[in-house]
Amino acid sequence: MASMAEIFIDTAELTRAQCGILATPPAADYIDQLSRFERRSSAESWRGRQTQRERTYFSRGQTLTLRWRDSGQALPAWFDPVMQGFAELITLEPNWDSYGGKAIDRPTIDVAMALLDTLLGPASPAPSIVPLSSGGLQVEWHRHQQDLEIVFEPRLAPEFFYKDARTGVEEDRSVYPHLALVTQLVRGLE
Amino acid sequence: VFSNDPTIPGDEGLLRRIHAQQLVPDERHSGRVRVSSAAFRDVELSIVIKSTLLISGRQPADLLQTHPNHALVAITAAKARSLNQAVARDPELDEPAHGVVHGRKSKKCASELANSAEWVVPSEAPAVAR
Repeated sequence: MASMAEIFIDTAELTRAQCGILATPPAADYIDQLSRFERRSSAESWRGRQTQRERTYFSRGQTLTLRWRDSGQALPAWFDPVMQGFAELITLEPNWDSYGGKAIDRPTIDVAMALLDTLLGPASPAPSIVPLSSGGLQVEWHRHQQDLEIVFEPRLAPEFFYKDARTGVEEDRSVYPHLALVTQLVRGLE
Repeated sequence: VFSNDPTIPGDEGLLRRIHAQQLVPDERHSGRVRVSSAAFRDVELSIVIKSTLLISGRQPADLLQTHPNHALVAITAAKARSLNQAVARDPELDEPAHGVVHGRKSKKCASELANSAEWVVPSEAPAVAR
């Protein structure tokens, strides 16, 4: 789908390449799909009356403004925390962890955003978005005595670790072959 | 390659700086944060050996002097070894107390290391940022 999202940093319009992940096609698709959560049952009705939307995020002295078009419906509660979390990763400088940590890999962020788009439902709790020194990232939830962590290493398929302290169940697997299971685990955190 | 150094006792404190972005809400302590396992995934995990630091006349808080966005936590050598990690000294020019927790860290291993981390600076878990 063509991009409907634009990102502006420090009020200066940037090229797509300069804009970073929030303006890349996967991210734009992500945003567009987000906006579909509450219009799935009336898909035809929204097409004719789209409005301009805007969200602004601040991180380490930078202003990141996300603009897109949709029907103006309410965004899920996790939208802003998740987008803020990604904004915080985008603005990390090399050696951010004081141990030579790499800047977070933009394609890896795209992969994470796309997967979250698949996994999160309208009532899903927002995960924490956490950087890895390798330039990857991790999204994680700790709720109802359950730990769910999805690890995104650059150029590797994402993997997840799940532990349920109530039952002792543990899972440590690759995500894509077990997408239905991961989706079920995320929904179980609601 | 680092091999385990048996002269480092099991109760030795292994100090590591944690960036604020690697702190996540702690379900067990409402309103507080804990360390994410993301901070313990490196195969060569840099740490500072507490006793060596103290012998040099410095305090743990000194490790944060130029790192205002970090907290300081400690794990023990015994905990690392129990997870099949080697604990070794690796002195550096600018940090003679530097050491390494060496070994492949599964997600479970990283999670257990994070769960075992004790707060040093600040001395207790900070509140979740609003």
